[in-house]
Amino acid sequence: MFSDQELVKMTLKGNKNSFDDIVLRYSTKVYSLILRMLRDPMLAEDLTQDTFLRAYRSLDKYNPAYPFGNWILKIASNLCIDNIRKSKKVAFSDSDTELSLLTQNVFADPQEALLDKETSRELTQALTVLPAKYRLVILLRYLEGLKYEEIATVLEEPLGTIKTKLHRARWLLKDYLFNKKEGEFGE
Amino acid sequence: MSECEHVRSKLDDYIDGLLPPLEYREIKAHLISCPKCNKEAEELFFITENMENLVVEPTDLLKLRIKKEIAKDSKWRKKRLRKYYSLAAAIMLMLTIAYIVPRSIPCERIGDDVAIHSRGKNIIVDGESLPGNLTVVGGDVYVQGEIKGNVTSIDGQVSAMINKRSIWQRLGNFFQAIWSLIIGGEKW
Ligand SMILES: [Zn+2]
Repeated sequence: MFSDQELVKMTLKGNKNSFDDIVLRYSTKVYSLILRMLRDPMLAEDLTQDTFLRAYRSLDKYNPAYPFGNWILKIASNLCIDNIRKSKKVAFSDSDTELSLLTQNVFADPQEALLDKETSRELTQALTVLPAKYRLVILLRYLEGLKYEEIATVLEEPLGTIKTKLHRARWLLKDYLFNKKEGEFGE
Repeated sequence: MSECEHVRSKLDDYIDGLLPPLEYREIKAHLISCPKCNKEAEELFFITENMENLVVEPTDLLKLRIKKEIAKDSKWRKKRLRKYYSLAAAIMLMLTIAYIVPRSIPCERIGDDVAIHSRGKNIIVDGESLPGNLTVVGGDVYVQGEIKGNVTSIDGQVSAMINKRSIWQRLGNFFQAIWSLIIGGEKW
């Protein structure tokens, strides 16, 4: 089995199938992040495709010193942020008014039937009340398993900022899920 | 800061496993003895542990679609790259003609046939063979190589000449060989 870096090298040398392996390796990570950020399966599919196309086109700019997974999640994150900014369906801000998006439709995925459905549904719903930039940080941490430093690199933000966002995101989710004190969300 | 407040300020690092061993044991000991703080910790654990369950695998159809798009993109990229190569090669050929082989022949190729229309002396198929017919519309043509088809002269002279090739002609041939390598055997 080739490493990501080897696959990238082979792709750049013109080996057609090497990038296919990259797609197979990272499509779940990319799709899950985008889906949980945007909560729209069709849009998530389109943006997952865009992510891989962008990665493919700028493959020569990828620095092999960093994990490939983080690089492609950076592209996916940027696409999510752009999309949210453009659509304005979900404001990319943490002001109090935008926090009360509790009535947003929660996406129900058939594959979630296999998991603890009730828990997943609750958590998905809870995520919808988080401001997008907190949601992105907490998804990168616990859905994708990135370390604090890696999130800072991916989002090009200081480590301290990431820690603060992560802390707030966790406690907002906790309050929503266990205390249901929605009034306290704005801090 | 009360002990509970201190513990809660450390809960983030505690659940992420970022505390040094000594501090970790302190917090753990407090959580065992304090139900309120323990509840907070359990709730945070609940979130982080269940977040992994939100992973969704995309459909095979999507994976296939992405692969197809990549394949399309790679073809497009190759074409574009080929254009650049061709352009560079064309410029090189023009330079070759202008500076290296000043007496290179203005000619037309139709399949294997060659038509020459120029004034002055020309040397054709230098040391090589021409598979088709040669038509001379104007100028003097010296043939050093072999012509497999017919030779027709409309308003010019054709003569066979066995001559040592000059350094410039050799260079010309050299560049022509490079050219045909670059364009992958395509005829100019
Ligand atoms: Zn306590």
